[in-house]
Amino acid sequence: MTCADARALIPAWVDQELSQLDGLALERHLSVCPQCASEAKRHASFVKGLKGHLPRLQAPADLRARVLRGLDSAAFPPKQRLRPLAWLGGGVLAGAALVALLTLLLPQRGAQDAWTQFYRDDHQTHSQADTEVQYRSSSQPMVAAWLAKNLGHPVHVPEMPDAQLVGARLSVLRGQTVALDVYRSQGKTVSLFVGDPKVLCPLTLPQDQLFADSGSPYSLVAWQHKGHFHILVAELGLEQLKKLAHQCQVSAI
Amino acid sequence: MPPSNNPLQRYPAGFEGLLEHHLDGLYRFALSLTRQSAEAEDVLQDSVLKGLEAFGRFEAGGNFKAWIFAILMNTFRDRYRRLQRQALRELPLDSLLEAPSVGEEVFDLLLKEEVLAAVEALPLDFRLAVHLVDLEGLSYREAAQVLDCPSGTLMSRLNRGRNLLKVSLADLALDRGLLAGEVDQQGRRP
Repeated sequence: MTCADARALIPAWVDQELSQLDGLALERHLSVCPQCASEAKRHASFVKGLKGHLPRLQAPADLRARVLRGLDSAAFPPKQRLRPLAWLGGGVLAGAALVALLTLLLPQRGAQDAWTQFYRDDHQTHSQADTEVQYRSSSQPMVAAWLAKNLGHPVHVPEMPDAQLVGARLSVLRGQTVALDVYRSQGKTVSLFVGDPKVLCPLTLPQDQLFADSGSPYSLVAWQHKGHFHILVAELGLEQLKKLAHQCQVSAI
Repeated sequence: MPPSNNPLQRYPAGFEGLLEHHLDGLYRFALSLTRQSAEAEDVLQDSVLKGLEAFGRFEAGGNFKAWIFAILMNTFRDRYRRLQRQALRELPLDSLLEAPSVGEEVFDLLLKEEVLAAVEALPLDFRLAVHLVDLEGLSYREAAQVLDCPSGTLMSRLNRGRNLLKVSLADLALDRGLLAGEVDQQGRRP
């Protein structure tokens, strides 16, 4: 190795970025070349001084607070409003049962306006990409094991006669990791979010009472069962989604 | 030991927890890019929202720090394309700058603010390489990912940035009479 070669390698060696082979070759050269050894020592000293003397500014406290507040509002964006026409359009499909549900939940409408959008967006983003699942398997025990391993607690992976299990993935809502079982039904991807009601939804629903929200193109059905909140999202009609929800509930019993 | 595939082992607090851990570094990086605190805050806030939107696609076991810094870098690029082109034109052509042999002692002679001012006076690409590696502790590969350039380019920018710093800091100390001239002259590479 020439001195020019050695000088070129010294910075990466000081930064511990050199391959083992090049490192050994350089060290052999340094052991016999006092000029290069001195240069290496001086460069290491300079880098150490630079790292130690660059001031480490901290983000201002008010900025920190604003950023974290921004995360909350981004997770439940107030700008996303369900249009009355969308509800009416869904009513044609859903019929009297949906009207009854709307009436039941009407006092909480303000809270409903925003919270479903996250699930539609998340479903849309992943169902049209190669990130549809992080773990691909049609085996219910295997998917349940993968989710339990990643979350540290068991997650319900229901069996639905009208939907084929595809796998699972994780998403993040308000800083919390949320589990998703992913299915295929009538050629469409079906996302089933399962988790803590306090994280998943601002509403309090009676046990097994369905909250249904038809949308274009993604419908959404939610319910609470045994302390867990479930949200089904798919590009399917509301009646089909409610049927799948019923199959989930039966599977959970 | 291979990285864990369990996101809760590596990321126990999800996006918010991870972000909080890197907020100071992201703020410093935004400040280094924009040089104005108000602009840095805007870039940071935009980047955080983009990160939140994209976090579902972030692979468990991936490098969150490099990932979120890259998002901030791209946010800056989107906002300041014109400024960035100007900065790129400023780059000096001398790739093998002769630098004095300066050691740690020069930092004891100068204020931290003077060191920071010297870093901020570097051309943008050099400054960012120095900032990411020497201040934020990123590896060459991580810094190259953030800056979207090959590792060799990152190394070159880092070395040229450090060499420019050696020159400017040694000159500053020399001007102040804090560094003996003959020591500096002897120290320069032949």
